[in-house]
Amino acid sequence: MSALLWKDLRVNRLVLIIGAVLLLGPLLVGAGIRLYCLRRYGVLSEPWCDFWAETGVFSLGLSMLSLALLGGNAIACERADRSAEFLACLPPSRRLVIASKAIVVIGIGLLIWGIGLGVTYGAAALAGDVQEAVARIRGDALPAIAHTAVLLVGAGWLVSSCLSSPAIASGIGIASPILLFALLSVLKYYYGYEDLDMRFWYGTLAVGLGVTGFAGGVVHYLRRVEP
Amino acid sequence: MPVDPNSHVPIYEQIADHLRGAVAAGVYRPGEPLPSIRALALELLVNPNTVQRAYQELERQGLLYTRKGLGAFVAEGGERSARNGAAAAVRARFAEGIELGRAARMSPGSIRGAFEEQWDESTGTPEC
Amino acid sequence: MSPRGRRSAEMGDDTMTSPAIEMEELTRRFGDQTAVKGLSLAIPAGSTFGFIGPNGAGKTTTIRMLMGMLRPTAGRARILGIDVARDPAAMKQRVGYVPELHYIYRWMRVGEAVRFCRSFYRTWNDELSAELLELFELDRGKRVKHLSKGMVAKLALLLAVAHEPEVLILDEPTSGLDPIIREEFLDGVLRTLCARQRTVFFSSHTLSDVQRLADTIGILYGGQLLAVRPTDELVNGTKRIRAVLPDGAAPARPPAGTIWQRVERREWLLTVTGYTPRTLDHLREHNPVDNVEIIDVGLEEVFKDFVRGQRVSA
Repeated sequence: MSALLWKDLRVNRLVLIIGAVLLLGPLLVGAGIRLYCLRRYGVLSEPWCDFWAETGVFSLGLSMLSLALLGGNAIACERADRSAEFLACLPPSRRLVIASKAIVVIGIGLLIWGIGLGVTYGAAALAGDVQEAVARIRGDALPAIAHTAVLLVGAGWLVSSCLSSPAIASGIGIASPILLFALLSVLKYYYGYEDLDMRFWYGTLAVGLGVTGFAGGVVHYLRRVEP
Repeated sequence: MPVDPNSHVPIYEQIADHLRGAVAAGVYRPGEPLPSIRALALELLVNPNTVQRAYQELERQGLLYTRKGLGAFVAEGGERSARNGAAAAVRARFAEGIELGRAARMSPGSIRGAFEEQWDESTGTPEC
Repeated sequence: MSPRGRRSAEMGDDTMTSPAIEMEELTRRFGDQTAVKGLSLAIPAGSTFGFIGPNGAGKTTTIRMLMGMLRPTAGRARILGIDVARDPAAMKQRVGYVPELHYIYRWMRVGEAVRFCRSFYRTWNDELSAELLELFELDRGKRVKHLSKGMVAKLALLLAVAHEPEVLILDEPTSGLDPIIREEFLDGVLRTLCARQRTVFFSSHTLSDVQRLADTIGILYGGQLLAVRPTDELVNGTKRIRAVLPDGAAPARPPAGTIWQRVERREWLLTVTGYTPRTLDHLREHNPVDNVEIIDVGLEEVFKDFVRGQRVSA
């Protein structure tokens, strides 16, 4: 199993690098600019606390892209270069293979969110009053970002399981939250469901569809015989 | 000794012929061990069962004997048996030639004549 | 003789051991095309089976079904008694497979690929693996994408045999390889063969390789087995007969075992399997022939005549 995990991490190396850049980039670059300003001008436009909270949320938002890539790449990448056929000649059952991929995808997802939330709340807490800071920068965007992330990964993963193109899978993954939002908007404004709670429905459906997509992708992979 | 899989002579026969020739020429003397089946199979790149069949054939003809766990050894009368075997192989080749002549509707006289011509050419002194 | 009848003959007195590879009415359809039609075959443990047939005959499809990589439309395949559709993981522990096209992870180094595969097999032999790495002159640090085609083929063979499989399955193993690498490959396969009770099943276009290695040969055409015979019997027991017919005469009854025949002017050419002197008697008895010549044929001609005979009767 550890060999499979190593292989899956290595196969997704580029995606992991992009993920690291999108997550840590804004934080490091932002902090660098602030330090420079501090040295140059002696004063900052906003407190550190705000900065960490804001940039943390921003990074997590940006990381949605890398999560979509991760989900879409997971299974289809080995079909694209046909290395899945090589793996099919080896003893590991399809269950083990998909388990390894799921662990990597979910693990990396949790890692990104762990770091992002850690910065948003942790560093912000060290610098000042977290709740206030988060409220000031409209950190209520966080739940929406989280729900979107689940949908992205789930949709990308499902398509990745069915097709052999990581690009299409990631693309559909990215498109899915937009489509969901558009669908709900149409229902609310065009069909006149005025009291439709967008926040609630978007959140519920995003998570629901994301988890279902993920499970569906696993089931489809297990039932399929061809690599 | 390369084996020719495309030849019409079965591979085990080719192997037997070669070993027979080697024994007749004195490369392997009576009592000396012959290559193991596995070693010969790997050297010639053929199925070990084929080598085993060749060895069985030669054992039947009295050219060699096998000792369980030790391998095959040239038999005491091995050299003589090898030469007899060679004689049989020569006759078989002659038989082929005769068949060829008959199929072409050559008379027995002309077949024999062809043989004698070839004999002179092969064994006579080369002309300048 | 049907393949099943041949199976009993081949198994001889060792009927206590079940066959290493068993195919029961294996069928695969792609749309309205049937690639493999009700293939039934039993290969005893310890034998080497050569699978020959023209391109598109269904050899690769059959092998993929054997390895559980393609679901049969009908029928079953068992390797070492394990149903390949039901428990492929257990089967793959004991089977080595070398496909026709190699898709080893190109970013892996040779050493990494070896360690990767090693982790999955309980029976991996480190000594054998090191020995083969040296024999095949494979550089542990080189990435697969930088290896030549022949080197990749050798690596694939190493990964398939280093865990000492009881069954080795190869699909066109030496196609496109230069003569030197082909020899190294055959050497590698033989080392597996030489170990006790190892079964080898391979498909190949290189008929000389088949003659060297195979105990039994199966000829596949249009998804069906035309013949399953021991190699010697197929090659040495098949003869071409050239008979001369008198003016205006035609052949009346070709002897049993005729797989192909052709009449041109006064010459009647036919290829007969299972040739015995009785065949000649039968020929003379039932047909007006003047002159008869028996010609030895090699595996290539036998194979071609089987296929030609099928095409004529189709």
